[in-house]
Amino acid sequence: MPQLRILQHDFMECLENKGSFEEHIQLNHISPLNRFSIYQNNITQALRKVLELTYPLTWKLIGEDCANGAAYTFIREENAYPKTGNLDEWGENFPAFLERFPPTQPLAYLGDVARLEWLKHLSYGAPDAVPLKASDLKDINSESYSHLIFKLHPSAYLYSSHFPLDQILSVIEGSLESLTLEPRETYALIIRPYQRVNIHWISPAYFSFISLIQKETPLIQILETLQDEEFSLHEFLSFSLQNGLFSNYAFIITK
Amino acid sequence: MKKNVQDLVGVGLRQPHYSYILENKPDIGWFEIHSENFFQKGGPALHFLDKIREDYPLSLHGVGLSLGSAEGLDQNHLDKLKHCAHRFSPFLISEHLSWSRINGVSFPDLLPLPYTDETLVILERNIDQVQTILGREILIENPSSYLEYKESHYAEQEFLTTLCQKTGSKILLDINNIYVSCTNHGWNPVDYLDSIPLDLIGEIHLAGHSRKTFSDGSTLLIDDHGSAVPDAVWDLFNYLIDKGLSVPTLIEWDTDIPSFDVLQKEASKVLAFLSQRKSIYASA
Repeated sequence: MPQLRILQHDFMECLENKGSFEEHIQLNHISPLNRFSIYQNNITQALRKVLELTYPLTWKLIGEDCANGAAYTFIREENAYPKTGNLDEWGENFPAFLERFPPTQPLAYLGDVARLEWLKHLSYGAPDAVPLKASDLKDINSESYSHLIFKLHPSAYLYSSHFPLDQILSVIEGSLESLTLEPRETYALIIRPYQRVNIHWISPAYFSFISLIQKETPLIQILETLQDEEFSLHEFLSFSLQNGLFSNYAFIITK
Repeated sequence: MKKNVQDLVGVGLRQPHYSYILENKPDIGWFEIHSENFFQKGGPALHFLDKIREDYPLSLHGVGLSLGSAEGLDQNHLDKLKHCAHRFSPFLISEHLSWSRINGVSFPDLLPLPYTDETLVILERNIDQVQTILGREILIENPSSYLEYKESHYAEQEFLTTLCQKTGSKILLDINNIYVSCTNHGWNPVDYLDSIPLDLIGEIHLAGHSRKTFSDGSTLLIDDHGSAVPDAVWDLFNYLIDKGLSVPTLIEWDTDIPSFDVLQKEASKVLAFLSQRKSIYASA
């Protein structure tokens, strides 16, 4: 095996507290452990900072000391180092870790708050697309609904939770003073039609509808599946167009 | 380019300054970005950079490619860099004399390499791959380091010079990194500068550093880019300028980021050094 590969492997082992790196370091007036600790600290701090930037609401919710402690444990004990040099791709497993981490485990909704933040992060860097406007749909007649499929905006993500995430986020952001935590399903649409990521709290029917659009189900089939008498297609399309939900539409060919 | 790039001074572009730059169009020669901050497929960061690129030249400075990995480069990372370069048409693309990737794991730091013949061969191979895919030369930056390897048998400046001569790449000479590494290892910074052929230097970086004191009283300088360029680094820069060097020069400030006018004042100091030297030569 090439010597450089051995050295780099030994570095990784030492970082994970599985081996020593001292034998590679030139000895002089500063201890090798102190010298190595600079790199160890740089790496840990850089990753902690990435998590703080990706999960700002989590940091606010549990406080800096607790969040930093969770981040350090996640990095050290979960073998959670990034797989690529692009740090935007790293940190997805932090929400699941928060659900296992003893100090944060009692906050049952914390994992869901963090997952929502991860989806905001994905939406932020998702491909751009110009959302459809009402005028783009004016030539579609109702006879073609059986073939019509909408394409969701590439920045659109859906998330559902057993907790009142809408109120929890309002408390974290300061627009709501307190809340009585009672189990309630919440449904979120996370989307960035232009330069800002928005979270829309939507009804179960809208959530199901958008989930089926995501699977490229034809419009007429969605309406048949939904069987919700209170659902108004007109209102749904109005909401969708106002909030940039669609980036395109197409007609599927059925044999 | 608005003017001759050789005489212009750049500043590291960081997110807190995007809006200020777009609204005020400050008189700065060019901006440098960390390539990986713009690897997204879309979104506000790219939108801002497109706008800023309309008015300023850009340089791409990578921190995550890991040129020194024995296992080779991450092709996916390289493809993203190529895409970024295609979108923003930078006048310079640079990376570091360091490694950060092993066994499919990436560490977010610029880790030091042993300066050996084997490392030279691995770097030559990796740099050749990058330059072939990008279709252009890149610049390689000397790192700040906190340890030396027993295995090394080249001095860093000798290794970097040989590498760039073999690969056709240029040197991005970070003066602060030279000062930090020389202090940490007992090297002589003037000897370091004197060993680098001026015609290999394609860009200069200037930044600040801090000092870490350990419990046993020993200290190391830390390259944290979190303060103004210190006098000792200005002195080394001036020494280099007096030798006749005139290349794009960048002020870097990445932590505890101040308001943009603080960066502009640092940039104006660089211009003052360059102008002073020009006037001396003009009157000679």
